[in-house]
Amino acid sequence: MSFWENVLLVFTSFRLELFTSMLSGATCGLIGCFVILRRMALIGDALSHSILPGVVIAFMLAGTGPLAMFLGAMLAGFLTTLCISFLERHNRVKEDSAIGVAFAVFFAVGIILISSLPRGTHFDLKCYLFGNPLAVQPSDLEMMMAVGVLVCASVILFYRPLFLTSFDPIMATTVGIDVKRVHYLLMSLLAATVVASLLTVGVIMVVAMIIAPGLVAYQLTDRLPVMLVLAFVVGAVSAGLGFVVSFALNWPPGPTMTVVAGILFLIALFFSPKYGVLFQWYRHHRARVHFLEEDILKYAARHYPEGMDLERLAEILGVETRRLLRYVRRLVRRNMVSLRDGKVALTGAGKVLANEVLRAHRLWESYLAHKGIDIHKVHDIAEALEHAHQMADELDDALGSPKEDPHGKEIPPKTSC
Amino acid sequence: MEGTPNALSITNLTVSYGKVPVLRGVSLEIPSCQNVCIVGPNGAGKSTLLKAVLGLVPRDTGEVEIFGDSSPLAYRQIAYLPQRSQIDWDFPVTVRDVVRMGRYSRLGAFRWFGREDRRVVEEALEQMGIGDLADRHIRLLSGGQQQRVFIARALVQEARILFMDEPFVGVDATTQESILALIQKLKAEGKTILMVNHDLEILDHFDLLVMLNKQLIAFGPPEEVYNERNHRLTYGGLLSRVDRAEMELWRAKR
Repeated sequence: MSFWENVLLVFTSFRLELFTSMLSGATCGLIGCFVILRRMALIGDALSHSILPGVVIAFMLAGTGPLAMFLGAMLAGFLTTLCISFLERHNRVKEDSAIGVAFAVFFAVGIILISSLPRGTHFDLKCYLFGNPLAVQPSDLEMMMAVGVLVCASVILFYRPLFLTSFDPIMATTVGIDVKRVHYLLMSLLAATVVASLLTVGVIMVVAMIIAPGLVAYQLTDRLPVMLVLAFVVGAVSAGLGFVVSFALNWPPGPTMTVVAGILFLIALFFSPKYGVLFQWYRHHRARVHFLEEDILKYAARHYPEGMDLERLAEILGVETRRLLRYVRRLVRRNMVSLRDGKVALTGAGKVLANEVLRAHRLWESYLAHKGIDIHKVHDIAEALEHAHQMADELDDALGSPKEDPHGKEIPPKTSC
Repeated sequence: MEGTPNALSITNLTVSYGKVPVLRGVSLEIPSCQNVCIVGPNGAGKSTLLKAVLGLVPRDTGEVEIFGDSSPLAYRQIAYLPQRSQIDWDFPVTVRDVVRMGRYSRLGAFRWFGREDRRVVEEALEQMGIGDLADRHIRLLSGGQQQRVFIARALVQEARILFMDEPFVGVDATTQESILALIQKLKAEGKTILMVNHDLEILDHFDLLVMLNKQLIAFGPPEEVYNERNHRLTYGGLLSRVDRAEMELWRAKR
């Protein structure tokens, strides 16, 4: 069957599996925002591993019913949390070590329990570890829906306590919020989400499904409510897309969902308009070019009107001549300078801007000297600050329109275009 | 003064972390509408004093009354301004989001923001001169503006007492000036301010001075209590023998 036939098959015959996966991804993404902001990623990972003995014991006692497994897992998760906080409080063990030792030991106990299960009973460890959304039953979907609704409702209802305890726990305490109780609420929701997501992504990778969508959202917004909604959507998309791709290419579904989430994170990391590496780099670059252009004008102004030798200018600015030529040409296009016989000469418009920069430079020198900075140091600082020439008028006002800078040079008046 | 309770009344407050006392038998009576500066060396228990009053750290002994009220609800009269280092400046919140938090103490977890709440928030933003920055992320502000955000939040809480924990750490001289001016203004509006502080050069901005070094060394108007003897007691090593003795006792118990 072709790729697209397989994709179509998902939407016709595997809607239950697809929907359960998406719901699991969305719930993970939503709760993940708080996990990220409260720096609980390691705890989340630990929790997902350490619930194994609980699940196995529940399986021994009650078979594969989702509710029994759920309760067993919650109990084991609760025990782990208790162990971790006990270790921290009553010994010199630090949190990360406590988490590291607790989750591995709990996980190991679970594995031993599985090996000692009576003959004839089969506990599917592989499915537990890596997830298998194709094995989803309607009862699993009901479970996932119940957890999804529980998590969404809790986040909406307890938005303020969750928000406040995450941002400023001290203030939260002073306004009468029980920080510990909120923490346990969040841990319970996290445990519930992890357990309900086991069937779709498995123990090993569930932490990525919890963290990655929130991280994507974190790159895109500065507001928590927006982050929550985005993470919910990104989680659903990662899981849904991952499921479809895995089905069409016959890849394992849990890992495929995780990889999709990881790829979305990478995309956000590079291309987010606010915090993306690419845009930050671009803004940085643009600012550097802008400063360099102003420096070109500044030096050319010293040789006004005949112009300055390009080679000499490159030397002073410490830039290769070829590169400098590129920026000079840009200035020519903007009619700031003219380039003739290897000489860079200011035009009228260029002269106005160069004068702005010079004025700013001398005003900054005056301001710095006024603030008590050593007069021999003010020039070097002003070399950087002069590019903030939009503040020149403000400085002029604050200093009472001085005529001369601290070195006795004339501060040029503002030129009107 | 009979009949008008003090803003803050602390009686015999003792706090310890682990088994080592950090504060010993501190008693203070702070009248309302005063600027109070708390000074002392590192580890003198300055922040602990504020936190113990707020019930953030357990007290071994001691009574705290806020405007004559010792019930848990009394804490609502106090707004705590965190140290800069305690805030995660990457948290996804805008200036307005932070100021709105101040209303949570009144609204609880469920009640909607009403018109009155919105008005109070906008008013506080304007009053602090950060109205035009309301939709910015808190990372994109200067140190002084960041302080103003948290002061605005305290105003919105409509608390009568402000606790400021080292507000001048990491801010420049101009910002310090403007915060000090702001504090005078807040005092004139009837607030009582307790500020933990490192810098002894700004004492004349305060009405009362608390000198602390695990116990109360001196309390009173700065011009009366700030003298060489008290300075030595606060910052000098006279108490280090007591510390050492305590350490020995603690080790013996283990």
